[in-house]
Amino acid sequence: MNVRDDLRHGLRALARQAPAAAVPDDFFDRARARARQRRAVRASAGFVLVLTLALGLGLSRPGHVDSAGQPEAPAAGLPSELHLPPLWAASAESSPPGRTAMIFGGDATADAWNEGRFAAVAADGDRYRVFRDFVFTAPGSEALLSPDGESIARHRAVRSLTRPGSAVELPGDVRAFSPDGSLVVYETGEGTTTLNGRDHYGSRVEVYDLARRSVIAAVDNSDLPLFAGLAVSVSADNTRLALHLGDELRLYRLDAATPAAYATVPLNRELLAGSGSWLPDGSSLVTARRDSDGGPWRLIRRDALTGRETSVWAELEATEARHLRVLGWRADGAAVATAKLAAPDAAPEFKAGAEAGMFQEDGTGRVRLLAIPAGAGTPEVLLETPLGVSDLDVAAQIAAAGVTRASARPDYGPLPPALLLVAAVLVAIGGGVLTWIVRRRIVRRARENPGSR
Amino acid sequence: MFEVDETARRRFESFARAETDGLLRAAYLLTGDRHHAEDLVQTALAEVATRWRKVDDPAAYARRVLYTQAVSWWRRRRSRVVESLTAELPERQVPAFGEPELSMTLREALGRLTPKQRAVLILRFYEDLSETQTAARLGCRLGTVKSQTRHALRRLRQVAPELASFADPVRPASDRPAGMEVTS
Repeated sequence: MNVRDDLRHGLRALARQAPAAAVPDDFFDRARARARQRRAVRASAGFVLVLTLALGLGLSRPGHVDSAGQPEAPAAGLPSELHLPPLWAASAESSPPGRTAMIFGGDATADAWNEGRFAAVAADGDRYRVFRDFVFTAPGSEALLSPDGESIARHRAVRSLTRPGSAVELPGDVRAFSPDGSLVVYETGEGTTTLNGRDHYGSRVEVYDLARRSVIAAVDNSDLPLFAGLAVSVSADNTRLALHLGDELRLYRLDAATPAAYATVPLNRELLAGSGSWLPDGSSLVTARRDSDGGPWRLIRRDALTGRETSVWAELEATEARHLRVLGWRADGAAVATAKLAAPDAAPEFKAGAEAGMFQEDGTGRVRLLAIPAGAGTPEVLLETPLGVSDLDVAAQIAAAGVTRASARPDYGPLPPALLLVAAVLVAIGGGVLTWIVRRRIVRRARENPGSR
Repeated sequence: MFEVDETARRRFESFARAETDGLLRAAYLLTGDRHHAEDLVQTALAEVATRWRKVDDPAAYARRVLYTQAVSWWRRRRSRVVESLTAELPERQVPAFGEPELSMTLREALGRLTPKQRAVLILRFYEDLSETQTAARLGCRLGTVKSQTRHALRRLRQVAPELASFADPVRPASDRPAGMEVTS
């Protein structure tokens, strides 16, 4: 006898202490029924999972097919109306909209939990995507759309809207694109300048060639700060630069690394009209003047060589606009501009002039995109944003082309991964609860009917 | 609902009556706990019932399920018994040799082995399977069975040295209970 035999005996002795048990009469049927229930629960969970995945993948398909089953029209243009993206709209970073017609934002696109949220809509279809920033970068001033709609400038970088991950980092915040989109003008906050005995942020304006990745000109405006807002404009041939500094309009030729202003003009209740201020032929540029609060806006034509006023290019008589920004020029000579309109319950307007700019605007309720003809004609309203969209930027080349397409059913892109994760967790929890309920019913039934075993 | 013919049900009931006791004894050795043993047997029988038409050898299949479930990670963590095999527990005989302390010691010693070591020992020395059959039953390699057996026996000597000193002066050596001469 060795340990193995002893172990064999010991195990058998111990096994004889095992309790007796009898199999209930209905065990066979109940076991098979429970197996069927388990299979049903698994199949249901699998079905929900597949449905969720299919929904997510379906929404993420490029070239989404509209409700009529027809592919979207490829023609690029401005949408006839804007839709407000829902909370679950895909982000532009994860699902780029492609060539973009507009970016827009305001109270209507943000909420208490998403203060920095604004939206983009594609040029060739109603694909809406959102940017979820921690801090709101206002479209048209802090977030700028390139003239061709292919990229967006914000947070010191120019990022592609068609090629994910493609970006050009810059040392300063972009204040304007050139009309052809090849140059950007950014402002750095290096150093501290002193104005009227008070320190303020430094301002150094540099013109940067996106293709060559190099600075082609730099203006060190140590005496005057860049006027709040978008007081920068590059001429159509990329040879001249206009800056609104303090209460002055300064013009530069981009033929030197550190050009000096060749013309300086004082401005009174007048602003450089925007990044599209230079007329296409380069002979002149326009400023926007408002002589009184609530009064008419005038686009003042100024000579490109001297900066002096030559004529009133256009006058908008009855306008609610609190701010006017020229984006570009149509072939028929009309200026394409955005006009910020007061909200119905807006406070009285701040005074216009050099002390106020778009950053001081308060109570903007919506933005109107206008085509302003020369003279005193009535502006053509190309688009009006929904109430609560107070900031808008438009791809200038698309706007200047004058093509407007009929808005269709909006596509908000694939569901965000976080939302899919939440849905999966909810499905899992629901499945778990369902399984628990089924099992509890089985156990309870078994306890209540012991005689049926 | 699937229509199950009465013949299949009767055959299963006959199979269950014949096998439950043996399965329960093995399960008791594997788990060391009456409730877990019942749960294990119930699971094995339920698997057989579910696949009754597809299984050629229900007894072998039930034992395979029993042992593989016993060493399964998920199984070890599922402590809840969904339904009992029976509401009435018939009286069992007292320990065969009148040596409850020895049985308790052996049960505690088995409890300190890993589930796989326990399964290997029970298959080898309770079910009297060869090493090859044990490997097939557990779905592992022959070398694993050998090493697990060696480790299990060594572990038994370590955790229960008092088993070696046990001796029954009355009964012949062949009737002695477990692990008496662990120094062999």
